[in-house]
Amino acid sequence: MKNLIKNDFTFIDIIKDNQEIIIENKDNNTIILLNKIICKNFSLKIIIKKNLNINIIDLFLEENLNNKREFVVNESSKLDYYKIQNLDENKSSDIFYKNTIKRNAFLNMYVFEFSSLTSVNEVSTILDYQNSSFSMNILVNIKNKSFVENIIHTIHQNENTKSNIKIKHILKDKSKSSFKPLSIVQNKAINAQAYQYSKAILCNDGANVLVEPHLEILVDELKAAHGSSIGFLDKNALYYLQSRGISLIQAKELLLKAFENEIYDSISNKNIKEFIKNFKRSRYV
Amino acid sequence: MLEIKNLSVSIENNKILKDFSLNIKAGEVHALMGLNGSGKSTLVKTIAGHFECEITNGEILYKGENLKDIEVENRANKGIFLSFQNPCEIEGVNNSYFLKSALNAKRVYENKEELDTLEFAKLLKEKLDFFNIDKSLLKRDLNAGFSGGEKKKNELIQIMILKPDLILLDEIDSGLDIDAIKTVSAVINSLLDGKIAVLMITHYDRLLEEIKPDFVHILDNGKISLSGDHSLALELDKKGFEGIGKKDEKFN
Repeated sequence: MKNLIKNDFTFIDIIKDNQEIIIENKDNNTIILLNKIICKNFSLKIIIKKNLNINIIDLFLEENLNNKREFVVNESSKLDYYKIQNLDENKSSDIFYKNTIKRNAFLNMYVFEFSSLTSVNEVSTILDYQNSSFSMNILVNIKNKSFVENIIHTIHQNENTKSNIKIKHILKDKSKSSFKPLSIVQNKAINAQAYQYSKAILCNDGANVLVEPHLEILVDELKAAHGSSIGFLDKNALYYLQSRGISLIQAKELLLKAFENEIYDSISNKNIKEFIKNFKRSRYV
Repeated sequence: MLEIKNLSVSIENNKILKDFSLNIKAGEVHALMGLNGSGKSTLVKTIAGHFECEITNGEILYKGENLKDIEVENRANKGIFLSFQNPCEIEGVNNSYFLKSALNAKRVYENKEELDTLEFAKLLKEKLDFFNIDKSLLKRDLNAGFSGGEKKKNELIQIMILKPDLILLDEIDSGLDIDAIKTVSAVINSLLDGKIAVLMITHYDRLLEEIKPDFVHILDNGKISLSGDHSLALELDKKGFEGIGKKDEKFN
């Protein structure tokens, strides 16, 4: 099935397997994909034609198992993709992403993972065109026994390619988050840039995070770095807020909001930022 | 207002305050001076309920209530304000939002209605304009990237808005230029209405010239070893601790 998108603002219900959406004109489009039914083994391919600036918000509201998303961002285009996963805590999601980013094109993925039983994102990106750029900003904010895993494979195969993977985990109760980024910079990828960063706050003793950053560098001229930090909420910051009359619960909320705000603030489109901040699953199901 | 009786306090099993006693009445200004490590900061942190400070003996009564059983935030809402020597930097928490939250927490505690954004902005403008204090600090994250002087000014803004009854100033003058010390003094003096009390820690007479203390105490090895009026601070300024018989054992 093929859909041709020409309007400025579009809602699409994902109800069929093997859909292909081609976006060929109308700049600054915002498309909202609604995943309201249980999807298993569904495949969706989205092609962004040249010189476009497109936003896609992908709302996962029902169980999604073994589904596939494929993005092709053509020359000099930019796709900002926002995944919001907000399932019931007894439901799971498992999505495999395959990305192709052409010359001078950008794909920025923003992933918001809230509580579910299990949610897995496997993201495979091959940067084989010059000046292609890929970024991910992931917020995992989960509680109870939720488990989230992000496996991000990025291969730099051409000059001046960029990848920047950032994740923040807020883990409450007995929740668990796993982050396994692998970035390979091949010998042809001169002046590539590859970054991986992870920060986690464990709100309880039972919460758990596994971070396995991995950079494989086969070229001399590049910029690359990875960093990871795991900790509890800063006792001194909590005390400072409390010493001004703010309750411990409110102080914790303020600090957690401050922690996650870096991900929200990386969204340049104000309307989308507000949409995501105020998102409520109950409005759609 | 504040009665400290035979207080002993440890931090990580090190005894810092030893059988310390002090009374501060409403309307009084007390200055606490002493060598580095004598326990000045530990005293004010203990009053404000800092998690590091373990009371091993004695008690602190504030307005007749034993502070031991009162949570940190409730101490603040009852009117205790500690101006920190090095205020914590908190990225991502907007300074103005934080201050409004703190003020409204106090108002709720006092069974008053919370201020909305416009009412709060009006109050803030009124206070800051009166003392000609730069408003741009409020737009930034709480103390994040502030210079030493900016952090102290921010503490001062909080004092103006929260209007505490007992103000504990832990070296508010350190890192401030003369003009900034005058602003600090103007704000504190404007609050001295006979109902509030101030306990200020300082190493310098400059602040004491601007905010005249009723009592000056010298803290030595966790205890008050000398008390007097402003003339004690002047003598200390002239002769130094060694000149008045107090040696810094760390350097001797």
